[in-house]
Amino acid sequence: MTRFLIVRLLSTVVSAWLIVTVVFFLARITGDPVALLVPDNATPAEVQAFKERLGLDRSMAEQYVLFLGRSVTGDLGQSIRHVQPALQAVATYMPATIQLAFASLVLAVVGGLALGIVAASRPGSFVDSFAMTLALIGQSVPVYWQGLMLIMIFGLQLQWLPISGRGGWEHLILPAVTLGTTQMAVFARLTRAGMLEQLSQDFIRTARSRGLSELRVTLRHALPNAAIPLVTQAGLTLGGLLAGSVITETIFAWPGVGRFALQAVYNRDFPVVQATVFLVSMVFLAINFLVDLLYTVIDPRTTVA
Amino acid sequence: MRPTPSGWVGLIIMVVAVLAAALAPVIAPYDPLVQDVAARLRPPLSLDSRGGFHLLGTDQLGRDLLSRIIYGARVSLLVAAAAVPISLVIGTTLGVTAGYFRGFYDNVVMRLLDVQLAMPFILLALAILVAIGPSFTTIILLLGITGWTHYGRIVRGEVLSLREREFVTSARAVGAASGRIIWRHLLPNTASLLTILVSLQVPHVMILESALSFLGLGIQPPLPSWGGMLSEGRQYMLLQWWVAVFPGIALSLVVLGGNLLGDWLRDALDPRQRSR
Repeated sequence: MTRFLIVRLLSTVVSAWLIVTVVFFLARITGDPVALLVPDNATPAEVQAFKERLGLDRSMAEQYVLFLGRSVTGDLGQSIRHVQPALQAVATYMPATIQLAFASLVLAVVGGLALGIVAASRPGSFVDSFAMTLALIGQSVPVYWQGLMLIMIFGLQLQWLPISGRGGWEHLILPAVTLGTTQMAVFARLTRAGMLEQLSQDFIRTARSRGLSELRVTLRHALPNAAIPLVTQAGLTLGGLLAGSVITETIFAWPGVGRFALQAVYNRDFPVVQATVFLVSMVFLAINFLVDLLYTVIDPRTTVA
Repeated sequence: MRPTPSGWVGLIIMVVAVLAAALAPVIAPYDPLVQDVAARLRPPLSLDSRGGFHLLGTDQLGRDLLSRIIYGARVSLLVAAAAVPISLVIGTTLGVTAGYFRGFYDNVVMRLLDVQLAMPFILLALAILVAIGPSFTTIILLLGITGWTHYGRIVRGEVLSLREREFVTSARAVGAASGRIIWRHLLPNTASLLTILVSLQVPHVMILESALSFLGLGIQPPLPSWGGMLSEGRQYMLLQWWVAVFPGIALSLVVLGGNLLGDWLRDALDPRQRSR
């Protein structure tokens, strides 16, 4: 188990290094980082000052080493549009994204488990087909169109819920439903598949033969075993959600990192774009490392895959 | 291999979409680009001043919505048809070789996979598109190159188990070169897996393309793309709902069709993965 954790830690560090490398080249993809990293309206003297401070007048290799060193300390340059360090600017939008991410995840896990368990309890029945059709539709409808339709129906026509901005819990409902639906569909399908597999095992037959109620067999015997792969999925999902959904946050004017980064893309504020990619990728790596730690606790069979 | 009822639905949706895309100039009632200021935002089932009938209404520039949706299918499917082979080739090559040679090389491929999974795709794509400029080719290349991961991961897993099977070990025992083993013994055995993966990637690429177009950095107007049409229709949602509703229905239907087809192929070709 210790070996497993060391291997995982090492591969996480290698991944982090590769991510920093991608972020470095992101500003150099056109071959002219000056155009992307220096404000348009800078005077020639200012451009020169920028080049020196960012090291853009040096060789690519030197720039790379400089960038690596700075990113370890969390220095990803200054935002062009906002007068503050890029990473700091992005971090201020993190709380809104975290709130939305957890709301969506709870919705996806609870809804997905419920749908999956009900479907697996009577495979092939009407309830099963209904739940799985629902999951398939949830997976097929594009997130942004679903968001627009929710806005149209519940915001504009019925006027039940606010459609933009962050405020009370009622502001959270539409974006969380929009973002959570696709994931709910994934959880529903995974749960059903896992439950069907577990329900056909010998220990379930034993449990039933001991006269345990079907509810108890399902929830206490089958579900914990079926839930193990779901933990990985939840980690991947949370990591993805914390990256901030560019689309959902934009549609609902939710002040999170996704929307902020999109504005940075439109403004060509590349240091902020780089800082966002850096931050959310690192969060993703960290969460998945933690999930692996958790794994070794809940499933002692875990070894290096 | 007869389709199940839902397999049929998927197959029919996809055939209709492909036919609509291929025959767009023949079946579209109007030119999708011709504007008519006098007939702006006409509701579905209405006539314009010249007596032209608009089944799904017109958009904010008076263009026929049905014609734009039909031509939109062309854009959507063309991007998918061009991007998917790129992903297929890159992903399969990396997956087969990583699974076969293992060791350090396998580790490198797996790290690349991890890194791509960790990075926010839409944001990265937008940054690249805004830097080098969105065009048909850049979008196809972007979606094609980044789409390799599903193939890479799953093909690698399959090859890891195939390479221990008897037909591979005996080929190695009689001295077959690695290239021959990969080409003659491993690749043919991943064919049905690849069919499934392709059928599932098509709807995925369509969603990503429409998302990029929705955000203004995908297919550029006046070319009709479903994502771009949705984004234009956004501001008319309160009163002229049809501009944002119909392109979304078209997109959802085709994605659903692709998913149904993919699910059926998976059940039919790979019994081990049934209804996962």
